[in-house]
Amino acid sequence: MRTRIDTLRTQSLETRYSISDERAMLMTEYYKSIEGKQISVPVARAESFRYLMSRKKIYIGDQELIVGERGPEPKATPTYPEVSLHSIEDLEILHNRSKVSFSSTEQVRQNYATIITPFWEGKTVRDHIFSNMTPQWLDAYNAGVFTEFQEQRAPGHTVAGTKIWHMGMADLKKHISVVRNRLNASLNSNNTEKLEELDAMEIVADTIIMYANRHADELQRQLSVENDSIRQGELEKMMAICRRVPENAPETFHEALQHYWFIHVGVITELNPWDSFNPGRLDQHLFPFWKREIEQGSLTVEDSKELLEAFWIKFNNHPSPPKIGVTAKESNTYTVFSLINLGGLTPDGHDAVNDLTFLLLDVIEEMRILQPSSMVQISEKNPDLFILRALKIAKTGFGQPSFFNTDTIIQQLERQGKTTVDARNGGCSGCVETGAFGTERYILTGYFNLNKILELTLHNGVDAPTGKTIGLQTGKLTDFETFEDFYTAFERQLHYFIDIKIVGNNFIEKQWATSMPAPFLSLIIDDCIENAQDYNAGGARYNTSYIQGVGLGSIANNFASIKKYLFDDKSVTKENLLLALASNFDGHEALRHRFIYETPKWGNNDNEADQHAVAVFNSFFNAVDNRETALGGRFRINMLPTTSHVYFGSKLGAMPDGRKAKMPLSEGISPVQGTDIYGPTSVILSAAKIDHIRTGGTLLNQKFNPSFFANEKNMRNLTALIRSYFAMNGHHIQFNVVEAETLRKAKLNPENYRDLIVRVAGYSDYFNDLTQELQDEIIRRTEHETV
Amino acid sequence: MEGIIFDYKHFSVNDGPGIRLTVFLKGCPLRCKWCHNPESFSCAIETWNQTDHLDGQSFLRNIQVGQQVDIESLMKVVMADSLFFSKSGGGVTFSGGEPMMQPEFLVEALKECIKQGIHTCVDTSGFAKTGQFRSVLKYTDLVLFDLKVMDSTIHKQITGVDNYLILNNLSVAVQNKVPVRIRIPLIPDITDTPSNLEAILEFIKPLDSIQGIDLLPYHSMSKSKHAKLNIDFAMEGVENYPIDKANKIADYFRKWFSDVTVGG
Repeated sequence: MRTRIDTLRTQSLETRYSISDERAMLMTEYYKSIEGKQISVPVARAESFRYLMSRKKIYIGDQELIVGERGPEPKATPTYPEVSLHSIEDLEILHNRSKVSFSSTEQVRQNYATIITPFWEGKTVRDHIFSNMTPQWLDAYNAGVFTEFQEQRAPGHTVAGTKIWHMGMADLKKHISVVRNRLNASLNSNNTEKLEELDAMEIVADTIIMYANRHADELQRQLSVENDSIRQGELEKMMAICRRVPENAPETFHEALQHYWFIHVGVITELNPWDSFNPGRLDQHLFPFWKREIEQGSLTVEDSKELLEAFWIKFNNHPSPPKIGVTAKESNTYTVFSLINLGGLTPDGHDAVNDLTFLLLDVIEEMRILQPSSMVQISEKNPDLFILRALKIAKTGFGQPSFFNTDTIIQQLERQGKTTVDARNGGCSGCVETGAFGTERYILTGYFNLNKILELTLHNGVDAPTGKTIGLQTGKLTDFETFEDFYTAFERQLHYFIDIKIVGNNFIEKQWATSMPAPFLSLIIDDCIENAQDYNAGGARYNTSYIQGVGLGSIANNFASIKKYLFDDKSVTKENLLLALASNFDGHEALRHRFIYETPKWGNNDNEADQHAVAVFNSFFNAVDNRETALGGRFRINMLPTTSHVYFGSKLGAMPDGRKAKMPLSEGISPVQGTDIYGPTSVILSAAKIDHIRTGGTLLNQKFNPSFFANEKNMRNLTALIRSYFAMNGHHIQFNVVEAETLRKAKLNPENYRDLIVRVAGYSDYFNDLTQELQDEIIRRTEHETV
Repeated sequence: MEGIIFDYKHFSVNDGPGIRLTVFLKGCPLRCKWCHNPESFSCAIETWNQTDHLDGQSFLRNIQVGQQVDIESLMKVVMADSLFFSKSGGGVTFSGGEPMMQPEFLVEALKECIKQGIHTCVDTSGFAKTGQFRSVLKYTDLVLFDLKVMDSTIHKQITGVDNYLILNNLSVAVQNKVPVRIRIPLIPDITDTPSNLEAILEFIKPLDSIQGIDLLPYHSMSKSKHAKLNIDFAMEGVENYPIDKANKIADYFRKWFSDVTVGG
């Protein structure tokens, strides 16, 4: 690592996270200025973006090679009051809390109290959503049946495709103009909205060009006072680059990185499309620029590596905007889930691994930072060497890169109706979510607590922890004669709550479409320009809304207990089970012991447990898949929790698998922590029983003792393990390579483990930043080793 | 045809090449003091007591050690892992106990694996009737052959049996050109003495189907198993074998054999 990178990296890691009110103040100013004026929603959004980008502070750090910050300086994090409004109390909590804190100054809080809050109160997207949800929706939401993503963040979750690497803003404006002429020439008089959207897109395209030129101006100023001749050369070069991109398509490697970065800042400043906007298939996009310059001799490998590392640091400067209320527990992290995809297949279906892929893996290993996160896409056609190289990084214990199955991703996308080429250009973002990069609006709409549905079924629609009836009265447990009848009741509850969720989603989608378009993101994702329709209004080629099932392992084990003891051998009476659950097993320890030790568990290739995971998966799939969204897209499922398995667990009473009240659920499709006793092949055989092709992503976590990674033979066996899982259509697997003992010590003496990084669920995080519940949950996961 | 199996280890990576399923057959004629699997001594199905601690209380469970399994059921377990075998170049390893204690079942199981195209290993002490040993060799792709102590008197003292048959069977395997890996348990002051290691090396040097050597350092994890079975634990107080010492011994063997591992 060059000294410059070391310095910038250290600065980025050590700078404290803070709240900046720059964006909130400028947005407030702008929207105040248009009060009472007739101005269309998309144009107002575009003009507010211009207002912001023309006034916000330009930051160019000493020694930087890639420039552009969302806030006034690194890690100064803006807020989005038009979406959701932090209260003064929120700001104080964020400032004072020990984990994932964001400092704020007195001035910021004062501006919030006197200017920002009075203007936005009652007008935010969040306000509109909550005031329009039905009592049933609110009951379910409050009971922890599901969460809602779009209540404080914009629908995003998409990834840039191939277009931007060979088109500049000038080219996109030409496209806008062609579509505008076509609309003007048509006899249809209902084109007003489309024309307004095109106007908005043009304004934001001009805005980002202006924003780049403001950087060029600042670089020029710095050049005029710079004495160091080497830095002078760099500043001159950067200035020329900022004058060329993103207006024009990039021509050099450096230009390509800077071009992308301006677009990135544009997307995450326009709105908070949390999570994960990112360049996607970075080795594929950059390779032509890199190869040409390396061959011409205008770029050395070492210089290209330095540029990539400078690019990496820019991601790390941009934490996710802090959340408020319930979603803070759902996913409480600085991570933005930008997930760099490497490897996979070319659009024509060949092995896409190239020399730059390996250089990027070197960068990931050397940088060892949380953002951007990274993954490798592995197709049957990719070489073992690629997997082995990635495993050697995973072995260092920071949870990156994670391993994804390209061949399954492509089949998932094709099943959903994407063309083969669009599917091959796709990958995963966020944690494990599949998407067609550059052509799809695919959003997560909320986590769904499958175990809550079971708890409601056990209690005839009553939410056991609160005693409130929120579900269908599907029958008293004591009245069910057969397991099949009980399962039918579960399915009825499931459909009831999925319907509530979907009705809510459809309102929320429309709300975003009409009140909060995203013209800048719409420039980037096809076919928004062609359709003259906003990303948030369904303008993309494909529109998918996901509901994420949580707690598959837990629910399989719960059903295994219920079937075995209540219906098969009838050794536990239904009354007794309800008593045991109500008392949180107090006085029923022997029963709890049987539930834990003498009942089949998911993750051991035991059909007595696994059949229930498959059944629940199929029921969930059938309840959701292919239903139409408000924007004409489709609902799909995926199976991932981020950290919601902890939140959902906290909303549940004791359960028949022996889990006590409030304890976390299993994460992703992984086994319940500590219950997979036959090793990773058995976990994989269980996990592969659900049909991954019919999802948009599943998440499987495996914890390994570092000693396992110590020899080459085991690394080859791990390669084979991954290949085997992927041959069974497994979607994703990730490795936590850390000793449980280390984690225990870190919990006791956090000060000695400030750099300890662990894999959570689809992302890595500093162990110290995790809540205690999550720390304990990770410690309890089964650790595979070899004796 | 039925056999008695007391355990399966899935994702076994130290008992032969690739990802393997190790099948542990019950019953052993040896009584090695350091044995890691004392539950394998007896051919009979036994129970042991397991105490679980939960919510401040103790719960006793009787766990059955050993189950009668027919070839068909065994093959179901084997075939479930077959994709891992083919992706990794792995297969099934029969271990024990001493798998040759159930020779007919072992031969049938091996035949069935070969029929399914699955690579087979037999992990043996070598203590078996030579005729039975020959019939097992026919269906074995790789023999993992334990050599403990070359001095026959000491061998008898620490394992309970003479090593004449063992050394003879090793020669039989080599004559039949069946690939063999020699496995040497490293037991302090018993197997790791310079004279014993030298005697092992001298014995195996001329044998031409030896593929490599695995040194298996002693570890004390079987102590609790001995307690559960009420068997005296002769290794009380002996620490886990030092890894650097094992590495030095590996270097010693590397002068003659290129493929020497610590741990298999």
